[in-house]
Amino acid sequence: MQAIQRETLGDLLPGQSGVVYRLDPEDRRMKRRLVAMGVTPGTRITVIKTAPLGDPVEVALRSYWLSLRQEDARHILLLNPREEARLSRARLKDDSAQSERLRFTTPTLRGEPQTRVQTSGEYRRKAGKDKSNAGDVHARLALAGNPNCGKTTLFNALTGSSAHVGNWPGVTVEKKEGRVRAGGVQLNITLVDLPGIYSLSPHSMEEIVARNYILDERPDAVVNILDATNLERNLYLTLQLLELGVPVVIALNMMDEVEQRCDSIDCKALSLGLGVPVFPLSARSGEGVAALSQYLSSALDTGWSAPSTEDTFLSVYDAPTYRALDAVGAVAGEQIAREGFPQRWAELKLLERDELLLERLELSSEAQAQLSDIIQRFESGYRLGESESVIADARYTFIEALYKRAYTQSSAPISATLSDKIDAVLTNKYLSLPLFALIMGGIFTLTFSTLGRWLSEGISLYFEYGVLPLARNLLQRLAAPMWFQSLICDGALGGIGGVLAFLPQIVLLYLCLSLLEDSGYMSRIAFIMDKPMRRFGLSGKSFIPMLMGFGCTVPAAVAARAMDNQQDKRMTILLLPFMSCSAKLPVYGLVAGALFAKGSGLVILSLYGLGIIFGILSGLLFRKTLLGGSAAPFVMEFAPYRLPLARNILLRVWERVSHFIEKAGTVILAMSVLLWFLQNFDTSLHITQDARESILYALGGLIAPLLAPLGFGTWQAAVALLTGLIAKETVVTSLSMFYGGSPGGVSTALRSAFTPLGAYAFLVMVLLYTPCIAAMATIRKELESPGLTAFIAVYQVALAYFAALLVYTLGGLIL
Amino acid sequence: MKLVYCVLGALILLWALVLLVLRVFKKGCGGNCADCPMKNKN
Repeated sequence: MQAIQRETLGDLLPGQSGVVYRLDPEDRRMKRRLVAMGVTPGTRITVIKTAPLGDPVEVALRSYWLSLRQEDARHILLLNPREEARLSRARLKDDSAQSERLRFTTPTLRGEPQTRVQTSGEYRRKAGKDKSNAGDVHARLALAGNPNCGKTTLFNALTGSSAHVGNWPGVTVEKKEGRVRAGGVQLNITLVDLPGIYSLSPHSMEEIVARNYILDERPDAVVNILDATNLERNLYLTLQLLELGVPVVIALNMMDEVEQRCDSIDCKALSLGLGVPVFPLSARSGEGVAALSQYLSSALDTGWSAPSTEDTFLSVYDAPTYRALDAVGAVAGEQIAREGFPQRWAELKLLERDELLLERLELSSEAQAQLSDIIQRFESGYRLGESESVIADARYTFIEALYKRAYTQSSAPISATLSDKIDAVLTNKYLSLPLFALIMGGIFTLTFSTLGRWLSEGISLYFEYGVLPLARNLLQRLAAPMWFQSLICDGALGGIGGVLAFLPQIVLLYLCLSLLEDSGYMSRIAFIMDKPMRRFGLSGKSFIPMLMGFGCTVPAAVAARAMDNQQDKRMTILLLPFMSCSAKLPVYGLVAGALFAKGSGLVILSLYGLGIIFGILSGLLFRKTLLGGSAAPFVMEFAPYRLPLARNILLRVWERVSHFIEKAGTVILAMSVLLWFLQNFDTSLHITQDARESILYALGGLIAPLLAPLGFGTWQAAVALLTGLIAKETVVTSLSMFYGGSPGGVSTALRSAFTPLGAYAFLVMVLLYTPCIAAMATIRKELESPGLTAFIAVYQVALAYFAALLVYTLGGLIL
Repeated sequence: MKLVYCVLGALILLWALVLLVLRVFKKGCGGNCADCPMKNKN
């Protein structure tokens, strides 16, 4: 019999739609990702548009937008029209059957928290941790939700600004904790912000971190935040949380947007359907947040309740799945109980071939063979292929029925929203690239050559004519000796002042990056840039960490975790040092400002451009040598454009800027003091007035000859570069100290110490040589390869040296 | 008075040295709280 020739999603043109028959990607991870995003058999998908450069495509499904590559879209097979008609008839029948299965027993409704007896093999809170020293009850809650569902906004709304940021143990995924407040009072509830995830399958580091937290740390309850405008896909995670048996409280966010669309959600039906309390709210406006925190406050006294896992499983899964789960339980039940995992959840995970759980249970080879046999028999009963797809399909079938019952769509004709109109312009085939260039140009102009520069100069003048004379005066009154005055004024204050002057530029840069991120434009940039990025083995998603790299390499390397595969992540991290971080900006500002005066803005821009060019060339080189292979998949959600919330933006900017200030007050201050000592003492540890007798001169003199061919073979430049390995800003500290004492100030001294060409070569060296220690430590952690880390450290120095040599030599020939 | 300033100067220098040594050997914290495992401890 001849196989039916099927159309694929890749064959559809913008505006056309089809219903998924099955997923057939070669990459299993890709399939899992698509399933978690709701691309399951029977789902209707409409192609919205293609990216300006022809790839990827934007599609709409389950009331949200997703972008994926044409290549991957071609692996999504569609039903033919006859099958579609048959399916819709069958669905009408199925709907009533599914509605019957929609439960439930005695759900806990809002304001009626119930304490429930926990049965063996189910989720239990970690014993002995719910009483604080004072004897008060203390609860630890986890906040879980999909990316872009307003998690940070709700976290800030619930905790105020009491959050502190750290890392999850062992991995560099950001961890936030804060105390919940209700009615202005801080409650004994710690809220832990889990990473933004689409499912609890162990596909990405974020998912593993979130799952392990719930399983190992066993929070008292999970506050599951859902995007009400994208309910279907968000409920997928909810269902997985319920399968774990953990007490869940649902925060139904963005209800204001649902109301704006004239749609409505029956929260009672949702609560009954899931068996958990549901709180409609808008984290942005704060509406409904008080009711949620009041509930949390009362639940602190009455206890947290969870729906029965058995109820959840009965509602979602059919009889053959249940039989398969029982069979899995017979094989691995003992090991599951030994490890203390929720019984049904663990059985389901084993049926899904969950590698991490298999590893932890250490099943015998005989048990593994039996398990494999059970899974194969289970899969043969369905046409969906792997068990994971069958289970995902069951979850979505339940969700669809619940969604239909709870969500009422307005009968008014759907008109294009403001977000659609903005998107039509920003991702337009002809306008998108010029607009992107214009936005980036605007950011750079604002930060580096207009407002940012004026504010920097203001702070510089304030230090020079305000702070330093004041400190000198004070020390003279206190009869401090000259050397002590020099230590405080030239060493400590001079060093800090040189760096703090660039604070406004750094604030502006972070402000702009946060605005891009929160507005939803970042994901569009990834969409636009995917095709060109793929040319050197990266996905459009890499563009986001790259852009963050202009702020700081450390969070950018952490953000690279969002990459879908290890190779892509490594490539992104290896290329991050080429994106000139904001710490280098003070160096550019100082040297270019002194040597190129009015053209300094252009010089700085050229350095940023040069970094990108070297990044691209290195990317091509790495792809051909170190990290060959096919490009990573690109599956990304398109959140609607939203007006960024000032509070969130300011909190994020403050988080980052406070690091900079902290650095200025610690490591940069310490470095300034040390440099002052090395500059003012000779090798026999006597104070010296002649810099040529200083320890620093001796140290710098060892390296300076190597730098002579690059046009800056002075001991000052050599030492400045060395100190830059601790933190890039200290290059400025060093230069300010070495040249600050000369008549006419640093700028005049720099003009006599460097030729313009030598200065430019010096800046190229600063741009490209090994990143600071903090960045290298993060890179090492994220790359998970000491060899690759050592390689990148050496590669950066070598490349910086040759690039500076090239600039100086070629420049000498041309000029 | 001179001795007081000498002690003060030496203390400042010692603080600077300790801080820098810690930074080099403590996996590069550098005031970067997002990368600081110490801040997770309650």
